[in-house]
Amino acid sequence: MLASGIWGVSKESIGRVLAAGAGGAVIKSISREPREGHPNPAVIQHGDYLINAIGYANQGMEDARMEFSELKKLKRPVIASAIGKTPEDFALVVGHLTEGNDFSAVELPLSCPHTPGYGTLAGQTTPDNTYRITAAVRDVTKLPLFIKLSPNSEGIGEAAKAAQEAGADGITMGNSLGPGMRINIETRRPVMGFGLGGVSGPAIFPVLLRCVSDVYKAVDIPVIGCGGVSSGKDAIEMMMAGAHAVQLGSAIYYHGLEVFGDALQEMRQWMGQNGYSSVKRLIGAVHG
Amino acid sequence: MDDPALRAPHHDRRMSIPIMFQIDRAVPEAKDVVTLHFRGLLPYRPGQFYMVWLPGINQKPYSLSHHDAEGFGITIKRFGAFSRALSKAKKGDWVGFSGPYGNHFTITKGALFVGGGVGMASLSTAIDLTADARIIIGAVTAAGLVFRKRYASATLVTDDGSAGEKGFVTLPLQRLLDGTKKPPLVLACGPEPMLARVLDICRQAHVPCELSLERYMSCGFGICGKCVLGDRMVCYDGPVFRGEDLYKNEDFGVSKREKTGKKVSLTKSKH
Ligand SMILES: Cc1cc2nc3c(=O)[nH]c(=O)nc-3n(C[C@H](O)[C@H](O)[C@H](O)COP(=O)(O)OP(=O)(O)OC[C@H]3O[C@@H](n4cnc5c(N)ncnc54)[C@H](O)[C@@H]3O)c2cc1C
Ligand SMILES: Cc1cc2nc3c(=O)[nH]c(=O)nc-3n(C[C@H](O)[C@H](O)[C@H](O)COP(=O)(O)O)c2cc1C
Repeated sequence: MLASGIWGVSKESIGRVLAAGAGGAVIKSISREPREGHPNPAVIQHGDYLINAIGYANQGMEDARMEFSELKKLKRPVIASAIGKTPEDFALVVGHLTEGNDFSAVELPLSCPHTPGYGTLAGQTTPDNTYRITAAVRDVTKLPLFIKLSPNSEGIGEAAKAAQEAGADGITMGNSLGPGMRINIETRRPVMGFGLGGVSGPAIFPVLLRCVSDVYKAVDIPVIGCGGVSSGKDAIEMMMAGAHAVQLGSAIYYHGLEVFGDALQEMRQWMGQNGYSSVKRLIGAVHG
Repeated sequence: MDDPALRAPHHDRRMSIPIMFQIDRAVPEAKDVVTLHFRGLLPYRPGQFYMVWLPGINQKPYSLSHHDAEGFGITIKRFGAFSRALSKAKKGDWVGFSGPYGNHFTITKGALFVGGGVGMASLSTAIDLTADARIIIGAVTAAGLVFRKRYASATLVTDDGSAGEKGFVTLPLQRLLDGTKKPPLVLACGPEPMLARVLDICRQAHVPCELSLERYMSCGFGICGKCVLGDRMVCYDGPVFRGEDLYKNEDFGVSKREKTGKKVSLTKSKH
């Protein structure tokens, strides 16, 4: 499934990602008011990683509600993503976005590493805050609720447990790593417009894989693995670490939209060759 | 649009972190238009673009308007804060280039080029590779004509008639397509309302066209989704689009998106 913030800015682009083979998609995270985000360069890439500091640029919940109307036509699950500065903010945006729209679930990123007021920079992934935000949104929606955590937070298991206690239906593990930075040596300036940004792509896969494994052990609700996945075999590895489903985003840079269809085919083929008739037996397989 | 020839392969998307060059010289081209020349080599196929970075300020997409064995150049028209800052940059200033991104024009003998304003900047390297190119350059006034000396044989058109024919580039275009020596292909770049008219005229005359489009971009390499145009993405599928693909696009000539992703009407803004 498509991870949040990559391509998912409009219904048409989500439709195209689904047509390319994604089983579902998460929309770009939406805030109460429109946001212009950070100056460019907002995304850079080098070797096996990307650094992004988009800064949650989005059209705001009013426009987004219209943008993502009639999602049923897309025939596959589309997941809303909402951000806020306070638990009330989160609840307001979720209530607004989902009212009258056909979202299949809601994901709350508590974990963006580069936007002041939001995510890890606002301490949203501490167990206490995770509990408060999850509980506030739980009150306003009956849709399945996924909490997206940060690979940086200490004791991810504790944050995941707090989300579970507050009524979350799943944990998305997780957001980009960092923040990281690059310096342009000729001008002695940071390259990123915001100075730093979240690190994603194949380079972070081992870290996120371990995080998925930790969260799987800590909670009973399903885990969605995300971070650096770029092939069917990566997805299988994520599932063996404990993921029920897998998201990817940065891999589109390296392989194009074809990555969704190709990964699915690789999974099917590998599973066939190795005697797996269903993904169920893959989930958490490393834990015996 | 899924023609592989029109599409930059993903492994071509390299150097997505700026590589620095110092400005070698700045040359005024027309009213509010300047070319910055750099020494050094950058890979490029006409129609592609680079994300151009002014350290500490911002980064935006530009085509190369000059590209040869000595170096390369970009031609900038002053609109807002960034193009103003870029236009003011001086010899010795550092400018970063990430790319090249996007697909490219099809080089075709005898092709007809239609450039409106600074749109000439993205056509010029294609013109330089095209045998028997025919060229129409348009601008609001004589002072705004870009590259009229570089392409002395070009047909000039200005809205106010201060140089060449009075009116829009569509007038000589219509005549050339009605004539006996129809070009095999029309390549155009300029304001989108102009491109929409070019597309109509080419369709009626059954002449294929390739149009280079602009949308607000953040990454330039197919990740962030900002430059969405209907179900296409300008950096990922374009910026060069074949007329027959655009004709069906619901956003072309109609709407664009602001920095926030909000959809706005094209005609309400100056774009
Ligand atoms: C693939 C691609 C190639 C490009 N190549 C070039 C190039 O070679 N040379 C070049 O000068 N620019 C080029 N551009 C446009 C460039 O990236 C910037 O958008 C432009 O320089 C304006 O940036 P700004 O920040 O100064 O203005 P903004 O702050 O973005 O705009 C300021 C005001 O000017 C208006 N405006 C901006 N651009 C235009 C326009 N083209 N026509 C009419 N009104 C406009 C805006 O609507 C706004 O009102 C290209 C864009 C793309 C997508
Ligand atoms: C350009 C870009 C924008 C992103 N925007 C968001 C966002 O708005 N909300 C969010 O929850 N995650 C966002 N992310 C994080 C991704 O959803 C994902 O968690 C992260 O990139 C790791 O996965 P990947 O390596 O497959 O890309 C963004 C990532 C990138 C590269």
